Amino acid sequence: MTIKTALFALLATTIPSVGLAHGFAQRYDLPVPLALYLGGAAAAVALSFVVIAFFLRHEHGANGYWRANLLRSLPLRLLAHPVLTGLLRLLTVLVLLLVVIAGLFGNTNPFENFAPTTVWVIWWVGLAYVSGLAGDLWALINPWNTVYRSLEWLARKLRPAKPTCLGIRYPKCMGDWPAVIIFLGFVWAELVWLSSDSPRSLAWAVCAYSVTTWAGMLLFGRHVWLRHGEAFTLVFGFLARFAPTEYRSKNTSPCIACTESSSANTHYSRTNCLECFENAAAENRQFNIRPWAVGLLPEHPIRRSQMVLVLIMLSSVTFDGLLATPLWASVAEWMLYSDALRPAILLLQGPTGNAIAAISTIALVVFLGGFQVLYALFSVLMRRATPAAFRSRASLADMARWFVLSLVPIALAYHLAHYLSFLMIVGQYMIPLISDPLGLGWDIFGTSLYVVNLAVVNARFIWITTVIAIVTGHIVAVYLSHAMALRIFQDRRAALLSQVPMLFLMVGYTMLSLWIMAQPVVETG
Amino acid sequence: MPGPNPLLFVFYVSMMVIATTHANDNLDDPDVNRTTVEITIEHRKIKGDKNVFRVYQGEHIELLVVSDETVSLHIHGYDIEFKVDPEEPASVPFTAYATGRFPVSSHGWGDQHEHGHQTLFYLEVYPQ
Repeated sequence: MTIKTALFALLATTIPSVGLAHGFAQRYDLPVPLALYLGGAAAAVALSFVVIAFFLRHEHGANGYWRANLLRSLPLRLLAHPVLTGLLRLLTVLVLLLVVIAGLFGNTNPFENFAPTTVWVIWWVGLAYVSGLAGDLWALINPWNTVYRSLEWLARKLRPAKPTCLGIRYPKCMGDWPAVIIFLGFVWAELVWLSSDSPRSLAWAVCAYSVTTWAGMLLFGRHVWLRHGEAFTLVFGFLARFAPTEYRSKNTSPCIACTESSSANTHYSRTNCLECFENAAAENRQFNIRPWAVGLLPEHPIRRSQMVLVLIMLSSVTFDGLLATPLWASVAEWMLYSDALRPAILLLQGPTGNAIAAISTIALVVFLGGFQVLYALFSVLMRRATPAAFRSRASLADMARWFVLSLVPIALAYHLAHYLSFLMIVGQYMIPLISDPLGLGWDIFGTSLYVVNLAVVNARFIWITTVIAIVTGHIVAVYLSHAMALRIFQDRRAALLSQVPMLFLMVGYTMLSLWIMAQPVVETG
Repeated sequence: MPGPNPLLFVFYVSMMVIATTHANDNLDDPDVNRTTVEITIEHRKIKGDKNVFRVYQGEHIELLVVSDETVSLHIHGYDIEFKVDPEEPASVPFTAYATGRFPVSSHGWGDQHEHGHQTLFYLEVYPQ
């Protein structure tokens, strides 16, 4: 009884600080009305069959796709001029520096400090939009890459004979697991960490991540760490596979990934490979426009660690949405007073901050783990559904690693829908913040008195966009998985049959996304 | 393959087109029809089962709050803060210019300040 009373007391004092999902600030979204929600769900199911019927009638399976080099046009060549891209890189490094300085020395009110809005709204939410809808901008502007690359350049000038990293051979067995672990930590910080909106804590976290990244680059080499350890290069890279642009190089000397074993890497045709691009001569570099989502049809199964990373991306986005639903409020209450969980809560509430953070941590682990198991289960079903004669074309592990990327459009669409009003409303905080980044009363650009306008976006517009985005994401996903299956099995019937379980998974995932959007936002605590 | 996303264009165009219509409370204008939302707070909770109040965009709202204890209330989003006393119910006029679901929370009971933010009810502003 005493423990229970203590928990009650603890809760009563800690309620104020909880309820801040996705790192920072509040959301004011109205739930999508029931009729629109049901209409969207029905459309998703009906259109799935349209996509399948399309596959029954048309020939598919070609590996190539249409692309056109944008650098052939003069305006874009000027825009991609090294001076301009260099300035953009410099600007991003300065932003990183400002985040740390403002976070460490500026105002401690999250809304009067440059750091929280820049990290959680502009960078994390905003850059995901850019990556998914425009292209892999992060590869260009990654400030950690820019700083290390500049130091490399400087070191080569000063001591031409010396290597720019310690050159330790990256153990192959480590795969992309460093990035997976880092991203798990990031997801926890975004969704559970009580200090995620505190400028000081955030700045220290950014410092810690900077040191980790530069240490990784120093140990193994810049490109090796970018490929295996810099979580955001991988995460934004996966989202950018949906985008209608790519960077590519031809006739370059093979990069490390090219020389690694050819089967188990993601290095598809030197597309979106930063190392190949940097090594290529200017005339061999391409910046192509291409059809949407073709990057999600890989030429090789992706690595196991990458599959785990993609599944964490998908499930964490959904978990973020679930955290604001009344369902989670009830589950949280149940967990809080459940006798079975009490030891775990008491154990975790110290390191995590309080009881709510402890149960959120448990729920996060269970949900993310459950999603991995669910996908494994559906991979087994997918293989079972494949006609026996075709099963030799792909092992169970291969099946799982071939098809996981086809789920990305559903998660991306949900992300776009879920954050649209958040980005447009909370993003406005940047207007006063650029004039007074440290919250010290400055007014550099004369915008420090700007008041956020809530009416910039109307609920009806958000609802319709939400449903269209989620249904479109679903259709693209169904299309991709069938195209992938056709490419692997080279047989229409085998392809269709193998994708029946996947279709169920996709419909379920899409329904869950729509259902979350139709729930009223509540703060748990 | 899906074609170029027309949603993006819609998105940008609407961002530019939507004029910024901020709250314009005709406080002194007796001719304005006001939608009244009545709230009673008892024992630090909303009286009754209803804790979501729906109004429509563009309506002139009058929020009437009666409380058995002094409390500071905050309408999130609209960022309106006001105080209610047992002897003096609050009447808060404002125009529901923006859609959304806005938590209204207590920012301190009695003489205490910032005892914690507890959401008491939600104000939902629906599009017309």
